[in-house]
Amino acid sequence: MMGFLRIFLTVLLLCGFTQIAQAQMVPSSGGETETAIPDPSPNDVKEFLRLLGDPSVQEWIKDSATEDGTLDDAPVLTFREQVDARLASIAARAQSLALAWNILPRMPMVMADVWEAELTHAQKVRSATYVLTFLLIGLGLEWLYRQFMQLPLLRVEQAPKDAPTEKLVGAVMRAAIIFAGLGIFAVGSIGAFKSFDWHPLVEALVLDFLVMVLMFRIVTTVSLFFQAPHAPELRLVPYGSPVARYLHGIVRVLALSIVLALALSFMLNRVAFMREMDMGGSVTAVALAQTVALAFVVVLVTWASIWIAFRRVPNLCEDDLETRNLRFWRNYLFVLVGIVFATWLVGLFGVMWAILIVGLVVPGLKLMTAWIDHFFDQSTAALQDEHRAEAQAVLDAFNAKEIEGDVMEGEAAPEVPEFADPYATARPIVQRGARFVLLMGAVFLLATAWGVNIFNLSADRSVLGRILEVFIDSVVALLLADLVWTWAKTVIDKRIDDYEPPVDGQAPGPEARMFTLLPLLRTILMVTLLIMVSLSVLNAAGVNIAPILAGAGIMGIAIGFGTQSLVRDIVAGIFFLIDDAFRLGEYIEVGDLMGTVESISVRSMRIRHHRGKVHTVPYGELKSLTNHSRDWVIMKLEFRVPFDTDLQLVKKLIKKVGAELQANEHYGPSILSTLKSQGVRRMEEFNMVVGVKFMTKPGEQWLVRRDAYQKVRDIFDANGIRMAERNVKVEIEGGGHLTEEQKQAAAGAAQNAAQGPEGPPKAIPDEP
Amino acid sequence: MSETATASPWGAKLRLQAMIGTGMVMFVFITMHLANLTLGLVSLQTMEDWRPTLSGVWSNFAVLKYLLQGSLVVHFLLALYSLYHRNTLKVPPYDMAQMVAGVLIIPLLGMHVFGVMAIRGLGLEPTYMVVLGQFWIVSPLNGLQQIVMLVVAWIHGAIGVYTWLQSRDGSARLMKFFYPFVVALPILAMLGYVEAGRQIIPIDEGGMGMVLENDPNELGPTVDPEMIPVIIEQAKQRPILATQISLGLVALVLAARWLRLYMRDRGRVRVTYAGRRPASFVSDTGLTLLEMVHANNLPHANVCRGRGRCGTCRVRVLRGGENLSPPDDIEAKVLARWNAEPNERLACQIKPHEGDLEVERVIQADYSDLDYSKTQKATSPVKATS
Repeated sequence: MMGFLRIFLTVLLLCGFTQIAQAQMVPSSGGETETAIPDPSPNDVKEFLRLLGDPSVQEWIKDSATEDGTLDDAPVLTFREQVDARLASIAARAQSLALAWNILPRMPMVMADVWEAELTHAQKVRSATYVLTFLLIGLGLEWLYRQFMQLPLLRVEQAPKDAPTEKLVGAVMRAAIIFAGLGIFAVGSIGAFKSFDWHPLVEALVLDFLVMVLMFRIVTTVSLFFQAPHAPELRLVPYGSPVARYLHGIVRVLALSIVLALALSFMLNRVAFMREMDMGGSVTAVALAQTVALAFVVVLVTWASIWIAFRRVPNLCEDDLETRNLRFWRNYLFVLVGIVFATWLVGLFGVMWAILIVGLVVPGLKLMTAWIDHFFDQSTAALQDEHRAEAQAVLDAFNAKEIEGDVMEGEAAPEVPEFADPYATARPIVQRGARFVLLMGAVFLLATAWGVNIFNLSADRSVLGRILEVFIDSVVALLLADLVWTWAKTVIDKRIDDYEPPVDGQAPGPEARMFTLLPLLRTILMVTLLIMVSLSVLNAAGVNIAPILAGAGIMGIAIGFGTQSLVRDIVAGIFFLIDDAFRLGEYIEVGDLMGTVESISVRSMRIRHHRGKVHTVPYGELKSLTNHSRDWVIMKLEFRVPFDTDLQLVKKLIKKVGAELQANEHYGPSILSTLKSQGVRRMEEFNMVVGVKFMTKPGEQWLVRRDAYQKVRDIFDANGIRMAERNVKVEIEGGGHLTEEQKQAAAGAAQNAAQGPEGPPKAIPDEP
Repeated sequence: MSETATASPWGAKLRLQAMIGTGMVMFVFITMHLANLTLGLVSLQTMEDWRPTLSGVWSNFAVLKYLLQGSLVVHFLLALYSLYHRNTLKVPPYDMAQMVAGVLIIPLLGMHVFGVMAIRGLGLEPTYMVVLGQFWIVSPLNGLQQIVMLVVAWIHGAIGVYTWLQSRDGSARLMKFFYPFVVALPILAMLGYVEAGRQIIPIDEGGMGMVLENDPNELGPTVDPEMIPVIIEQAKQRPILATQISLGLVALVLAARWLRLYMRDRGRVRVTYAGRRPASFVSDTGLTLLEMVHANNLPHANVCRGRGRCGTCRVRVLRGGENLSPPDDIEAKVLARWNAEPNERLACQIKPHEGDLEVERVIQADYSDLDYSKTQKATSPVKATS
């Protein structure tokens, strides 16, 4: 909460001081150059032309010009000389301040004289008339516009808004409407004024005032956008109407004082600048004294505002604020304002900017984080409320049904899904992005304040330029890497968190492979980013990174050759995982190995054979892979029956068995297409082969097969169908005389002869 | 007090009509006067050519002259009367602007009016050359004052006309013309004033400038030279006197109003708003419900800003209605026009008494459900037969 108080004060401070400082710096520097160079006399011009015509002079100019055609004779200052120059400028500043201090008592008089001499009374009053007239014209046009926008504006302000995004949209719409009005005001006042010709000084003065009024209105509109003191539905900051109204008032007071000081300062500097030629240096001193006095007033107003705001606002807030924290930030702002004013006073403008910007970025970052958090908190809370209401509705409906007795016995209450925050990933990314923008904005401001062209730093060979270049390059690289890393990490972590390990006995979903892949990706990304950032920082610092790259390249080749198969394994593994060729817990066949996938690592996977053997297979070795656990499995069975079997009956019986299997409570649901007869598949010497098949989910086929065999045999038995048995009919010609034992022996010998010796059975895939 | 209004509806109606009538007279005058100023954008000569037609009629024709003066006095007195009966000074911004502007008009206007009269007294014609010279060159502060006065008078008049127009049927179409007019005329007049000044100023500064053809004042003052200082002194004293009288009257009325409010017995009433955007607050009695709502910063629909004309501030009284006095003529008429249910009242007319009051807005604060087709006009055949 108190964070939001700071943002307004700090923003205002920022605006105020930049303007004051510019007002001070621009005209005074302009004044000095103007006085230092009087117009050249005709003789001088003649002499100059003669010199230009002289061949030796031409030669010298040519010599001293550098390749790009500019004269490069700016002496490179040593550090000592720079310090000396800096001290000298401070001393000069102190002198002019002392002069200004001496003049201060006489200031109103001198100023009045200048004022009187420059503008007649009539002209002054007329200027006021013009300011008023053109302001009124602007306001009139804006009023007309507002009249036509009144209803839409009212709708935007009054319509109830639940989600913060709605609020934001509403606030933006309102701000757009108001800003369009401001634009019309600007065109109406400044545009109408500019369409006449004026006395130059009058024009400058009136224009200054009109622009300042516009600035004031822009600042208050921005404050309106965030605080919306009279439209709680549109408020973007987390406090109540009294605080918003109070802070809005303070913002207005601050903006008014700053804008007034600016306008006066501009005006006085302009008048002083015009009069300087005939009155010498004293007017500059007077103008400086005026500006200092105005700046001091602004500082006092700012201090007073901070003091009052920090005193009053906690009383207006509903919730308690931490007093120590409050006091710290109040003192911080106090000191910051004081230091900025002091550095400005001694003329260290560069230092002033650095202090101001850094001093504001620190609380600004905290504030922004708090604000974005608040925004997302509100969004999430709104969604959660909605979710809760929906869940409650479902439960209520169920309860109502239960009371009426519509609910079936044993039916559980409907499950309400857990609330999932859709902004969980967006929040850190937005945070980092906003931080990135804020920091970059600060760097740009700083560079502008120091007069460094940020896009042309490589051409700047000064120490400051070099340091700034390294600094900016490093910061940009770091911030960008941080942005990418945060985004990737958030996304990856969220997916990993969302992964639910499969319940025992169930096949894992497709997310399982991602569970393997994502940490790997995260590590790879981190290493890559680290290397890239450190390289670009080194590069920015002037370290030649070519040898490092070359060395890394050679090392890379060497390692690459050495670990060729390792790399191949890893890369192949990544693609197998992306292809979703296998998952944890699936039964696969690789070459002549088969088993359940037990673990997946970066380089290899581990397969457990159903008899307990564990195979480790590097991915690089995989040419092809057979997965037995995907979607469905068809199993075909065969029965041998004698030629005299009734095939219609067989078909009927198989169908019956199929229905029984389907009705089984354990594996019934897993049967996709139940047992059915495929008729006679082929005839053999002594029997027919009846084929049957069924389709199940992977892994269930063994159980079904077992029962299918058993049930078919039982039902065949019950219906008098025999399974064909291999029998050998031995006819012994003229063997009527043989005894029963002899016949048996002969039959046994004949069977052996017909079948051949018994061999070991061929291995067939068995159920795991 | 306000009971007088209910006791003599005829008087209230007459007062209202007198207010509107006198106001309209002055509005027409200002319009013509500003139109005259607008011509300064063309040239000073055009301005001067049109002066007898646009501005002169009001001083040359005795009827119009007295009508204007009478209107000013009557309008001012009526305004004082209604100020005396105001229950609260915390009024909507438009009303506040109109009130403040109304108080300021006479002090600002005096200098101009008596100045022009003095010019006539000197036997001169108040041409724009003379008057504008006075404002731009002789005494620029006066000129500044005139700009302020122009805006103040125009704002006061425009708000009055605007309010009157808005409560009439078919105002939506009229408003389309009224808004641009109300902005364009003073802007053009100000630009004309500035441009005419730019034509005059160079003459004073010794440069080339605009000179009137056949200036009626070429001969100078025709009056006895001894009288000149007297007349000028008069022109200086009279505005001050007028300012003192008008401000003194306003102060007197304000004091009397304060006394009246101080004397009245006051209680507390708890008002509860049901329906969409529920709210509840405690307020002093003696105010109308709409005034209480404004005092508590709650949104409420009210197109005519509490004049009992538009009917948009209607509320449905759910509880506590038995204490309210029955609708007076003005309110009953508006309620009938909207075919209001028996428990509907105008928030700007009812004055809740001590106790509890529970109401509900009929028309939402954002006018999202305002439907003019529900008025009696649209359904009048039905109403006529019943």
